[in-house]
Amino acid sequence: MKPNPQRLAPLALPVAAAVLLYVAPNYAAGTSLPFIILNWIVLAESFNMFAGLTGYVNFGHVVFYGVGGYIGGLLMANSMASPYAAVLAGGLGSALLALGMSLPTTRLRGAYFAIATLSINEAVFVIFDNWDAVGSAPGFTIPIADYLPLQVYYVMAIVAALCVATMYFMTRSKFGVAMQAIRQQEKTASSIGVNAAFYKTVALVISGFFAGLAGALAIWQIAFIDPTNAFDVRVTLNSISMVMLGGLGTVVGPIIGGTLLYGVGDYLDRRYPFLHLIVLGVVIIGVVMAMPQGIVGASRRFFQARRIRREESEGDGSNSRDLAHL
Amino acid sequence: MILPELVVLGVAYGLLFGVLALGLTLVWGVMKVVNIAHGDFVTVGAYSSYWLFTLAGVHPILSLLFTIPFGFGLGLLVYLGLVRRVANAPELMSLFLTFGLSTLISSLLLNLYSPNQRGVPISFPSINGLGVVLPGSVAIAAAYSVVVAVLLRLFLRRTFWGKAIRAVTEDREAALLMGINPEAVSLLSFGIGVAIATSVGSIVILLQAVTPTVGGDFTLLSFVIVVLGGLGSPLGALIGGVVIGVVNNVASLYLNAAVTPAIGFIVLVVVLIVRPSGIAGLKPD
Repeated sequence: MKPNPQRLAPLALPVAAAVLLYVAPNYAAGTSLPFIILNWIVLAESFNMFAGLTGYVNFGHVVFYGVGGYIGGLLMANSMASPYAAVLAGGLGSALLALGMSLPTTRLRGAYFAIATLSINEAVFVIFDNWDAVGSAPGFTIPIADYLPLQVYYVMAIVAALCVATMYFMTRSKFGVAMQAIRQQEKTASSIGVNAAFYKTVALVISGFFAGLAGALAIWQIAFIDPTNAFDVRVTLNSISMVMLGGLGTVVGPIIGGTLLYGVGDYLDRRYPFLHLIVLGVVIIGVVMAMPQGIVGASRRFFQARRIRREESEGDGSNSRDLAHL
Repeated sequence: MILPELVVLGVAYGLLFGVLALGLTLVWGVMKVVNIAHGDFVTVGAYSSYWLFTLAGVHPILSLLFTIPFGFGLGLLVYLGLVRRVANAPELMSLFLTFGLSTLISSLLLNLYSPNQRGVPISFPSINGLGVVLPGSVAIAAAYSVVVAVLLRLFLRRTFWGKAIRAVTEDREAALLMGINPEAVSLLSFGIGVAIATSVGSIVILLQAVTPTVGGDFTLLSFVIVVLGGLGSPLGALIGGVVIGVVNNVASLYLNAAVTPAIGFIVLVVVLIVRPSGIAGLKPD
């Protein structure tokens, strides 16, 4: 049996766990970089859960992040719940919001969906920007009396692992097959009994849940939230870029894309604040033009081509196993 | 009388943004590409007119003679270099591509010209009539919009290429069988779409100061208008523009001024729930 990248997938989790534990002590020493990267990975992966699986672009992805942050932040600021419960509440609140959002939007096709979600983002921003009870435009801070950086980091790492694992199971279940059918031919899928609206709703709710957790964790970490940052369309833009760069619809794509893009972006941001966005724009355009399947898709094609060549040279060209969803 | 004045103002602004939305809907109709960079071309037009005025003293209205052909040429280049490659790819790809293009344009402007607001210090005499006072610049915007809408309609109804655009919008394959080159039609309509956006920019600089990132607001506004009117319907875009213009202005009379920007989006979501393909829309498929 030839070594197959797919067989290595189950190894990824323990390796990731080891890396996360290894960087934790450094993190305690003062840098928040690992936390932020994990936060982006969750944002990108949760975007990927919906866009990658259904083929619909949710341009309002940051709404889940912002609302999760507000719910978690309000609970923490008023000491109404332990931070753990507040984070969970942030996720559940965003999941509920996703359920509400799905009612008008899952019936919309293609561009209509993208436009509607972009509009929802704008409307939610305006509402929070004028809502005095949640601090309106200036936002609010949470007291950081019992804040432990390491504790937040570990919760973030667990959430990230759960998020990636969820995506893994979503792509490898009956659910994943139904989603694939919807992505390729929604009408045909519906006509053979796949309830497209139901599956899209479930995917959006799970996507919203994890983005909400990420938002609540972010406010636990930075202890501050305001509408401009919480509902910044650039957060969605970043998530999209990370997913596209890594590989849309793949499990590990957002991890690769998120780490690479945040690493590069952070460096550029510090040196040349405005250049950062140019790089994002170029990355998105470049990926769409040159490798629409992202890094994972491109390398998968590379390995597949190599294997087929090898098998053909051994006189066995019959098999071309599907390497989908590495 | 403040209500009639707000309605007139809403109609005038609505016409301008309706014309802007026309450019978006034209491109969508022909090649099923939603151009998220549409509003950023408005910014490009506004900055062109700003610099022509500041450096050479060219009046923004006169600078239309530059921004229209410039926008058309820019549109051709963007289509040939980028959009053509994703025209037949899944919709997702063209959305990503134009999103990237939008980011690129706004951040390039940000790097070149800083985030400062830019405006031209030109004022026009107000127009009085029937007890309604209309600022001169808004009247010019409305007049320009009517001219563009009429010219565009004549072009689409009376000329070969205009008819070709309508034919491809209606049925790409049938148009191909009739000897129309859909590639050429796509190229032409993208050029017209961008030219409309940059020329609207020349008018916008008369109405307000602009920043490099203001394009997103215009894109969003055109989206709302186009979806209200129905993607692919030019008349729908104009109607949608006027509806949004009037609703926004009249709502400011009754509601907290800060909340009014959300009204358009709320109207949009309600319309989409009731009629998923817009007021006068083609079927999304």
